[in-house]
Amino acid sequence: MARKIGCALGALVLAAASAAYGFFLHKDRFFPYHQARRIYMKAAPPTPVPHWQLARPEPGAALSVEAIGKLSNLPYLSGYRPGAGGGVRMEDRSLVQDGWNLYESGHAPVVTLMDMSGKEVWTWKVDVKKTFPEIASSRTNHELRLAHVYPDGSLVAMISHLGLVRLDAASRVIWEYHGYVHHDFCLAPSGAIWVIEKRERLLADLGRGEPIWEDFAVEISPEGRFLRRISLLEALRGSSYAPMMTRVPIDLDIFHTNSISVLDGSLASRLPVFREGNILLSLHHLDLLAILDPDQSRIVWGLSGQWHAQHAASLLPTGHLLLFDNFGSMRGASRVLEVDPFTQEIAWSWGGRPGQELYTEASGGQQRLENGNTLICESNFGRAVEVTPDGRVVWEFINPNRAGEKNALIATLYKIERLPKDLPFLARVGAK
Amino acid sequence: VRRVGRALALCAGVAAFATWGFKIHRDHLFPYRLLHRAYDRLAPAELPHRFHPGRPGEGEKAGVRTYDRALAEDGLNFWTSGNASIAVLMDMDGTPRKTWTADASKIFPGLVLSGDDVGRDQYFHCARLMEDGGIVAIFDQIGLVRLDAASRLVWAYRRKVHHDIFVAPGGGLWVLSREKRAAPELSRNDPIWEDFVEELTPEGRPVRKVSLLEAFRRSSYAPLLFQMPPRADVFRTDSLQVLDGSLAARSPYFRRGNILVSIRALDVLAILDPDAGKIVWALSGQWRGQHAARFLASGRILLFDNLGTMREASRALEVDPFTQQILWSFGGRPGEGLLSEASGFVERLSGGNTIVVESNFGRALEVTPDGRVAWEFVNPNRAGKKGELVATLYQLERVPRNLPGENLHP
Repeated sequence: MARKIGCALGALVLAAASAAYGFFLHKDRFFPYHQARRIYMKAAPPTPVPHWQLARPEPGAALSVEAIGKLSNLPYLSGYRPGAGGGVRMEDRSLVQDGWNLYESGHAPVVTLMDMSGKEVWTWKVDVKKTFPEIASSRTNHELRLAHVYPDGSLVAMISHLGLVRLDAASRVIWEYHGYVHHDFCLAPSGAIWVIEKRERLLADLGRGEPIWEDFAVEISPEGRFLRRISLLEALRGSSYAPMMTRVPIDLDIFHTNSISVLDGSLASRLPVFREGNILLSLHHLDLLAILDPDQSRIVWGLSGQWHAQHAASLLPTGHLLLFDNFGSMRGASRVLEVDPFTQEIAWSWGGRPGQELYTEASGGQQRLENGNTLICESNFGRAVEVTPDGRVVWEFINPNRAGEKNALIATLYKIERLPKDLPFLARVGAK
Repeated sequence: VRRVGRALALCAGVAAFATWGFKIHRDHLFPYRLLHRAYDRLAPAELPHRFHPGRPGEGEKAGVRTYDRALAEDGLNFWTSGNASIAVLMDMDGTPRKTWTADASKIFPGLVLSGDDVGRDQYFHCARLMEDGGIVAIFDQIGLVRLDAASRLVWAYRRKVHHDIFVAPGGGLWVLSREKRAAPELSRNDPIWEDFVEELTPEGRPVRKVSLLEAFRRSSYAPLLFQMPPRADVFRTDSLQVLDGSLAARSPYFRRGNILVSIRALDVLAILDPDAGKIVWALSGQWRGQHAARFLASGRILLFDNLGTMREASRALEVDPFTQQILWSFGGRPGEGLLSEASGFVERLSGGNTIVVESNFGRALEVTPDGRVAWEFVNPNRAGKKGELVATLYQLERVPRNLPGENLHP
């Protein structure tokens, strides 16, 4: 009898000890947490590549349960009028900013140039496997994210997590740069290229024993040669904005830097931190816009508060910041915000009001056009709209690249850019 | 075979229970919340922050330790500290000129304090000198008391007030208060403390209260709520200043009647429009766990930045609210030893010097614009066997010598 009780007690103690060990295995990362995780990460199937998203349904079409679940938090769905399938719907020719449209989408590693009516006039193709053979051993996503076109018709394109490639107008490779690049690059007035890169790094004070992703701003010469690399983590930690480190999420992707642009110095007379050559960054996971001084390798300015998980920050000639605020409205609507960096006043916004349907969970961006209109990219719904300063939609583009049963999927529209009407290379190559 | 079977069963059992324990923590399975609550209850209650270890060797040299008559600004020093519910008016050389005191147990009959509240009736968390020579003072999260010049009770307001009192020119009072409530809309399982800004008449009657949480939710600064810590004390608002309108020309946000608040748990300074019940401006980035934010006449904000250096150093910061430039600071540099993890106070004097209070070390400094120490006071109220503990010096204000109350009640 006593033995039985002893046995039962022993089993109970053993069970409790086992449960406690399991508890602390997760809580305090006891042995063999890291080892098991590494094996799991290697064995786990690669994360599905989000190049395709559920498209907005046609009016009257029955929604799949899955699609309803995905869309249920969109308050303005009922007011949405899609174009006929895909392509361009022009509302008012007199109000649009005339030019060419350059876009990159999730369907293929191509860059497309189309006219205002949606007709393709030129495309560039990247042979990713040939240019970046390292893709063979890669387990992550490698979309053609964005491109910059030069007047001669050559371009630089980013293939995520592989590098940059410069192509001539006939898509022949001029140079390539290999690096773990992501999200964005930009051109400095000097012609140099600044690109966001990341690297794994094991730190004692972050990541709880797992390597975190450290983001870098990397400068590359116009010829594709590496010039310098600045750690954004060290730039923030070494600055007066170091308290922002308390916002770092438990996620290993601590900053998720997603936009980079070089300042032209037009606002420097008001505040030296806006001097020419300083770099405006968007740190997605900190809800922070920040300015990096690349010569001091230090963050010299930062602002947050009225946006959440933002993208695509730029400084306008008016001295206002323009950004794509994915979640800041707190109502399941995205917005494009124009903000005064000093008073924080919202000078202009589009999205989240009746007639201003805009929502994308990831990506998103915009471009302020010469005539004051704004071209907005609603990436996940594969849609772009051009809106006037008073909020009217004057041009709309739905990505024609569809997939799935009944075309339920639409290719993510990573970026769209309006180029000036005057593109010398088009005449040369004979495109109409 | 049986033995092997047993061993296998044992291993399987251990693995199963370990998996269960793992999931308890990872997925918050039963009994995660039960354990969490039990832990919260068993963990030692937060000590009433009345006393802290002082700087070594300072006990013997307490009182006014530095007084450079040429550099210091003349006046009297009004302070409260953790040793007792006493407010002291003290001369520049450390001689007490007058004191006020109140007994919370008599003012609030039937007061029972338990848990974290034990000891909160033993000191004034904040006090302000009034024009009639009386004071208004806070028993932390117990109530607000108004005393006359002879420490007789004029009125008392029973409520969970905390941290700061702002006396408006007409004698009206603004305080911070808090209430515990469930917050399912914030996806919180456990109740949270909701902070309020409250207005009282000079006679202590409540006029209105504005929820700071709701003010954020209604405003364009709602995304800052993502920074709320996973604790009950989601805001920990610690200072307020009602703007007099002298800066309204610079920004409509600075209009008369709007209120600057410091929200420690979010590392945010914010301006509340109490009429709209909405936050109209907010800034964060260069400070952490800050206290005592005040607009100066210049339009800059002065604050006590407890932890923003990200090392063991606090700072007094003077910052431009638009350019975010730090235009003056004291602390964290060689010869500027300053550290208070909690509390802390800072005040700009009319001549340009700054009072900086290192609350947890019970020390107050008056520093010149170029960082020289003109006056230094260490709290003589000590505890512990060898006086190694010093009573927290919550605030120390420099007030003019010719206060009416001082003349009426010498």
